[in-house]
Amino acid sequence: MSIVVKDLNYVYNPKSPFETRALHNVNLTIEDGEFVAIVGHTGSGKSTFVQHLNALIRVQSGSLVVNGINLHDKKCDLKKVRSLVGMVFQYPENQLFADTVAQDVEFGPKNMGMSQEEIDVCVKNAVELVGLDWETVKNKSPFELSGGEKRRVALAGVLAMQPKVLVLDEPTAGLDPVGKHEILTLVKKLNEEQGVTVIMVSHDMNEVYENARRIIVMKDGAVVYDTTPEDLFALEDEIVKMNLEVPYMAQFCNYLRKHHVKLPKGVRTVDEVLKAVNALKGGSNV
Amino acid sequence: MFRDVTFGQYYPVDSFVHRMDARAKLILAVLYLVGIFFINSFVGFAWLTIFLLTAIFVSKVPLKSVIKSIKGILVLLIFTAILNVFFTQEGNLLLSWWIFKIYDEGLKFAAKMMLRLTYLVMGTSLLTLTTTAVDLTHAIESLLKPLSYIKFPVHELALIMSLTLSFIPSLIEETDRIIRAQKARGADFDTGGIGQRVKAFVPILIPLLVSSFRRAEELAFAMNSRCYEGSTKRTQFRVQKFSWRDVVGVLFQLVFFVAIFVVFAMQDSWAHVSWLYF
Ligand SMILES: Nc1ncnc2c1ncn2[C@@H]1O[C@H](COP(=O)(O)OP(=O)(O)OP(=O)(O)O)[C@@H](O)[C@H]1O
Ligand SMILES: [Mg+2]
Repeated sequence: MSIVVKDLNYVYNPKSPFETRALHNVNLTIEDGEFVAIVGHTGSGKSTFVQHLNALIRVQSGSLVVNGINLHDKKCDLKKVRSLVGMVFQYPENQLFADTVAQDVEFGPKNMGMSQEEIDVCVKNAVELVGLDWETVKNKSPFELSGGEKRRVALAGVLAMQPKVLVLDEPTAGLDPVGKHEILTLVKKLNEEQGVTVIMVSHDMNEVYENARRIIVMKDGAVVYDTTPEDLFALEDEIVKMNLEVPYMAQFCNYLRKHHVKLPKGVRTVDEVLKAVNALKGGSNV
Repeated sequence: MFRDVTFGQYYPVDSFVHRMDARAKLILAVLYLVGIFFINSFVGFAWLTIFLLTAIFVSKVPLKSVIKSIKGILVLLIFTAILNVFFTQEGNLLLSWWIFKIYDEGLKFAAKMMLRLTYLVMGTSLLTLTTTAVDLTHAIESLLKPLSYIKFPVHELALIMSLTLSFIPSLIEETDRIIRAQKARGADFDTGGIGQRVKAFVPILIPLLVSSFRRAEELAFAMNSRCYEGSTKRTQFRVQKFSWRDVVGVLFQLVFFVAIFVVFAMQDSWAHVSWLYF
């Protein structure tokens, strides 16, 4: 089961003066359990693409199959798709509405038609998963929480539907470093421990570099690169040309390589680089 | 989904009508609205059709976009037509069935009423299709200026209007975003009974209210912190100027509407020219 995209095209407001071509022949396959990041300059079509994945935007031309469901088919099972693919929008805290946190989180599972016992379990698990204390938070109004807590409640609202694929559109925008780290750790945990496929749109190349195992670069609605973070950011000049930044660790590794330090392939974190350099110290002159 | 609303949406092309001064267009629109009510014959509507089609043609707005604006009043149109057909009891009886009696005058009256409403909406939407909301507010402010001598808060009124107008697109966008977010959580707005559908809107309305209040507060803060004061003399970024286009436009419309008013005023003495008043 996977996501298969073939020749996907999308035009906003076709045949009007506001016509914008947002997607241009997108072709890709995402396997189960992958952690994929989608990056690109603003307006490159990232949000448009990810909203196709749970049929919020319907396919105009091309084909899109998610876990065997044909989304290009007009009459596909929308409920099933939406419970399968959870979508967290930018600033998800803006979608909170219910009187209490518990009621807000159970909105999704209720719509999916789960039984009340199932719902209770899912809701509690989801709230605890995002690192909030169930007993203190369940009867609070979501509007009296802090910004970071609100975002976690919103995230719990999506996780409570137990999606197999989690799509996040700039999940860490506007959070402090600690909040960012917590959200990313949570997403990584879901990916590694529960095998949830993660597709994350982000402008922060450092967080992409640290977390994703595969990066898709979009430009003017088309996929221009689809590769590993290490290979991508080795192309420093190309990246800068596309108005993207190169992560600090990648810059550092590129610098070392330029100065004849023979770093092995695939080192990303500070620890990995340190280990590699130490290992090299024995043989060559660093 | 809310982007499909045509009524009141600016159509960005460069044309003679687009370049006319908003104040001239506004005055002409008022003249048009008043003029419509002085037309009571099919000949008059044909005359008005020539005017409207010419204006649309010159504005380079596709006829389709202008006609689309009628969609919003379709129910009203049908309703008034039905009322007029059944409640006018004049002229020759054409059809009689149970308690319903249809007279030829009723049909004629209903047809004219529908034409009047349709032209009303098409004319006003031509104004909003060719004039941005910002220009329109400036025009209103400028035209109401004389009222400020009797201490009427013209500037504040214009400010409220332009703020309201400028928030509409972001509100639409926000609504769109919230709808998508709730849909992603399986919300369903298209099925179920009335009660269920009304209830389905709570998850949209509450976030929308919350964000509107937040926006309003932020705007107030931003204006205050830049010492905004409405009452002092403010100049405008865009200076409005009349040009030859406005003279041509006004003259063109006057040709049509003077004829309409004359025909109306002379209806007693010209009554024997029956085709003119059919
Ligand atoms: N609802 C819409 N109506 C019309 N055009 C749109 C709409 N949404 C996006 N677009 C246009 O489609 C293109 C792609 O937009 P999209 O939102 O997918 O970009 P993005 O990569 O997510 O950008 P960002 O990084 O700023 O979020 C842009 O040119 C944008 O102006
Ligand atoms: Mg986006």
